[in-house]
Amino acid sequence: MGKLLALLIKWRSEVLLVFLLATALALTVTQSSHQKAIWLSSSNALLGRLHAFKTSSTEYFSLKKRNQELQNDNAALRAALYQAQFEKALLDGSMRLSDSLTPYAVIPAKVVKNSVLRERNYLTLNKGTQQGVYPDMAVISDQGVVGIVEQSADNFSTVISLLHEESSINAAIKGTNYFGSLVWNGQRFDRCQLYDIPKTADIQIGDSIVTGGMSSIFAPGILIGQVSQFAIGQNSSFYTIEVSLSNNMANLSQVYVIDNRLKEERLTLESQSND
Amino acid sequence: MTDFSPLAVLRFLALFAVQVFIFNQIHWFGSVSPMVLVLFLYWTPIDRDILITMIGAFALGLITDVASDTMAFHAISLTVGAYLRPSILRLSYGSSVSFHTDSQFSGTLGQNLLYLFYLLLIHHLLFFTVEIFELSSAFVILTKTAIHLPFSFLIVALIAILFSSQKR
Repeated sequence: MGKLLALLIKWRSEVLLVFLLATALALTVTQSSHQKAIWLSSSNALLGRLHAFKTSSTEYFSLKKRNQELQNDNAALRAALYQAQFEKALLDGSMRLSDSLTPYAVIPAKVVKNSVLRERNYLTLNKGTQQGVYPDMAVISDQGVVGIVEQSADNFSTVISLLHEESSINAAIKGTNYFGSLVWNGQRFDRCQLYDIPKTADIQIGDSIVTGGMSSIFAPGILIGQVSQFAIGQNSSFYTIEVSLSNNMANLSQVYVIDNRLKEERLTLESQSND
Repeated sequence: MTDFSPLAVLRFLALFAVQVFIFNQIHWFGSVSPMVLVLFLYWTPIDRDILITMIGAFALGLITDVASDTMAFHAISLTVGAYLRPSILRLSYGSSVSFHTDSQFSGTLGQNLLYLFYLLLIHHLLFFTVEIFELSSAFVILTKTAIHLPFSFLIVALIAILFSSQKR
């Protein structure tokens, strides 16, 4: 025992190094899974508030531009609303859109922290469970898809960005029923890669890529980006498509969290069918 | 040896705030953010017990990681940096550096910059290794280190020179 103690004291810096590294690695491993401790991310209340303070003290400089963006956004939304009301009125008389009939709820939120330089990028939003933001909800901006909510605290939540090596989103070529998986190779923050589109599909550079209907998180048809390059590997029957993102991921401010009210129902049904 | 002077605590908090709220927001050429946390190791007196330095480095790395969503990348690279610090000191200042008695030690500008460069090199290499976490991507790790290192070095050297009077 005495010898062991002497040994420990002799090698104390190595022992401490191993202990600290093991702690750090354990944190890294648990954090990359879904069950990561909420206080160990920027969505915890103190850091959320600090980031929010920093954002609010710098955002005045871009107010004019943001106002313009919001106006454009509002105009587009109104147009879509009128169109939807018109179509609905045509279908079944003049019924108002009510909560139970619209499957998607929209919660506006502000980005208080964002990163694009890491292999696994996250955003922090200023809305949390108290405002109805929960994990696995979709996050979009007026330009297109942003990511998926990973964790929610009371007033803040963290979002897995499209620019995350584990992010994978069901995507389709607009106007067709070909769909594949959109992932990020960690290189350019304005490009993602779309795989699993069969080579029978007719693709042109500039074609729009939108969210596919296979996702229970995103509504189908939300813009992701445009085809900027495509190729078919040797002996492969699938395209590898380079997608230029419609969002400027490095400059996000106002986003919308989308709650698919029918998600639970759909997932339950699908899991029952799989059993 | 275990005293935590107000200056040391202030530096600890200042480095955290500067990294998270200023340098994490900078994206030079769209992809380069300087990392300045190694200044903590640079400013720690050379006779400070290695265990205290390692725990301090780990704590600073971890809170920065929490605030920047970088898991424990800074914590790992700073802790290893703290562990290797005596060797890096010897490498930069020569084996005559006596880090048991002389806390007021300061070398020539060239030696200081070399010391800073070694600290940064180890921090960046480890940071990107842990971030990418695949030895098969060694080329990517080296490229990222080579791209980030000059910018971090420029900033860190500037800060070190500007605040050098406080080091004594």
